[in-house]
Amino acid sequence: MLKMLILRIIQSIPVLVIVGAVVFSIAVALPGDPSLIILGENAPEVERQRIRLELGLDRPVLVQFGDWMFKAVQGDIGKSYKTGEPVVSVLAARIPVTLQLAFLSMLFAVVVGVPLGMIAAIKRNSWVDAVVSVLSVSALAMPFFWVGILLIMLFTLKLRLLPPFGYVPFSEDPVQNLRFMIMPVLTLGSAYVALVARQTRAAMVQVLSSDYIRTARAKGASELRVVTVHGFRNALVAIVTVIGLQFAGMMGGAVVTETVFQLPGLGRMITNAIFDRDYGLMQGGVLVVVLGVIIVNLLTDMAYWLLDPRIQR
Amino acid sequence: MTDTRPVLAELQDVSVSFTKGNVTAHVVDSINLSIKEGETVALIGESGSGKSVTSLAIMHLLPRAKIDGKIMWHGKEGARNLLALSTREMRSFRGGSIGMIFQEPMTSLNPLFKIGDQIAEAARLHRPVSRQEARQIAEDSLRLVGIPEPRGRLNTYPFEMSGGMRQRVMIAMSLVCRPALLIADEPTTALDVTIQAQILELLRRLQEELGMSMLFITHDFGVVAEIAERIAVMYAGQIVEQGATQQILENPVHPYTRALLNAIPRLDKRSARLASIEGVVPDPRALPPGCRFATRCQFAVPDLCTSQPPPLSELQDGHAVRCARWPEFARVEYA
Ligand SMILES: Nc1ncnc2c1ncn2[C@@H]1O[C@H](COP(=O)(O)OP(=O)(O)OP(=O)(O)O)[C@@H](O)[C@H]1O
Ligand SMILES: [Mg+2]
Repeated sequence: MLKMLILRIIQSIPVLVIVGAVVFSIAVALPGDPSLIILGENAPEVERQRIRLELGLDRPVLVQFGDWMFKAVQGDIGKSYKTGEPVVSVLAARIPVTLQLAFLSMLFAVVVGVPLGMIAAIKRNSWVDAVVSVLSVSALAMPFFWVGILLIMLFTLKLRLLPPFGYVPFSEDPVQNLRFMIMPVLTLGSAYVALVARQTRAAMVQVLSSDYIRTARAKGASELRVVTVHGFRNALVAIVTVIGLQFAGMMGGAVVTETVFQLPGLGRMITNAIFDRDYGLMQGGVLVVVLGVIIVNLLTDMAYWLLDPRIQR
Repeated sequence: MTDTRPVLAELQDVSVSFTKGNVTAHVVDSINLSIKEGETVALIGESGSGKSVTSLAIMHLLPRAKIDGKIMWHGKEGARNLLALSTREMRSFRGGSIGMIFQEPMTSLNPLFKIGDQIAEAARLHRPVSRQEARQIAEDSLRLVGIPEPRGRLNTYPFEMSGGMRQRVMIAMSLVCRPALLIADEPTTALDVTIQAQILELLRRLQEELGMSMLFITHDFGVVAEIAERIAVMYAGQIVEQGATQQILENPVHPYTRALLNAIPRLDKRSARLASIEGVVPDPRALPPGCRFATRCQFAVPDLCTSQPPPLSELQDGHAVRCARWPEFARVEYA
């Protein structure tokens, strides 16, 4: 296990370097001069030159990149062009928000999607299956912002139950924090409920037709036992795969969701950074997202390892 | 010599059909078959003739099928129709009084569980035993089927074993509750020839040692002579010939039985291809009106064979055949 983990971490290093290069070159290639952003439109040329020197933008691109990577490895990923705050401390405030949103959304997707998919698989081709299937397709077809607006109309305007948007950290006021989180989680989670349900159904349908399921029935196991013990354990690998893979895609949904509900998360930070041409901040944000995806992939691999003895030996 | 052993299981006019949309496939058609206590009966026929469906019907393991007729079980508590049992009652038969092993040892075991746990599960499903006791039962069971170092083997996974070993595990698992009947659905088909012989020998020994009955399904006449006392030949969902092994082997009457016997691969004849019967089994969704074998039978004559289905006629005690022209084919003393 440890060996595999170390190997996988070493394998991630080139990925990180490549991603670093891509992120860095995007910032270089994008139009707009950071010095203007920092100083404002009408700044005198002398001042702008000073800023460029300060940021090291006068150096050859490759040197800039090397310098950036070197510092990044040490945990220093620069300062926000706009506010001058260290990027790391901005990220530290933003990451928990997105992490909570993503985690709760995935939890919601699993808690609702897995049972739905299992029921659809067991009652395959029945009306239950049809209903689950129609719900899945509709949930997948609805854009995030639209779901978000519908939820606000329902919970805020009609039922007057939830605040439309805003945020308090969990550590300050857990109840209020969760009240703010409900709608974003429903928004982001609904599409993943559909994905998880579909994948669970597909995996279970396949598993339930296997020979070892027939064997379990021939042993005298109850249908419940056949489905939950013999079936679900085998379908779990496929379900974990979709969860792992979808996590990366979830970041895209998080951007929209955080914008609709004005959550101060990573997604909104990156969008704002792009609009502000705050490349320093944007680089940091993208790097964190990529790091997150790599970590999730690592966790997925570890889950495989735990779930399937064939990988262990 | 008359056989006085009581009948254990009896299929009475068992039919199985699958309906999809407005098309119905009559896969098994009015089968009558009885298995006595301690007896081995072979069910033999080509691929697609309905052997597996018949055996799964006995186990109630055909969720989407319509099953007619009766499957009488003469147990200690008197006679019961298995087809009329509740789900719960039927479950106690599966793996309890009736064990079953399958054709594909490579895929019939759950890949994620240790074989010890899988065998122990079979015990715990039917008997109030503790975890340790179940483990001991599993170990004893592995020893029974000739697996060396059974204790250590309990902790291995199916993927760590060969096909022959896995089939032994399947047998061990099906026998933990000492079933009165073992249904073996082509247990050796997927194995190498040498392993086939070992598994066959093992099944014969266990059948004798445990005194159980066995329904042995195969498409290979080569193996039945060694293991079965009686043979039922199945074609397109019907039994076309039935009798004691000796009767069938020495005096096969139905042209299909004869063709199957000729299709046994011969080691002395060096033919590149195995002899096989021309043509294919008719589609169970569109069966011919007369004899179902007529389309492939070289002796089929118009009208007699193609207009109406031939009845099952008894030639001699226990030997019956479903062929309109049987008097011409049977040896003189029978006719
Ligand atoms: N669940 C099902 N639904 C519809 N048709 C089925 C089903 N199961 C089996 N059949 C059909 O029943 C026929 C007999 O199948 P069966 O598996 O009993 O054959 P078999 O004699 O065991 O052959 P083999 O030697 O290949 O195992 C086949 O035509 C098959 O297509
Ligand atoms: Mg079969």
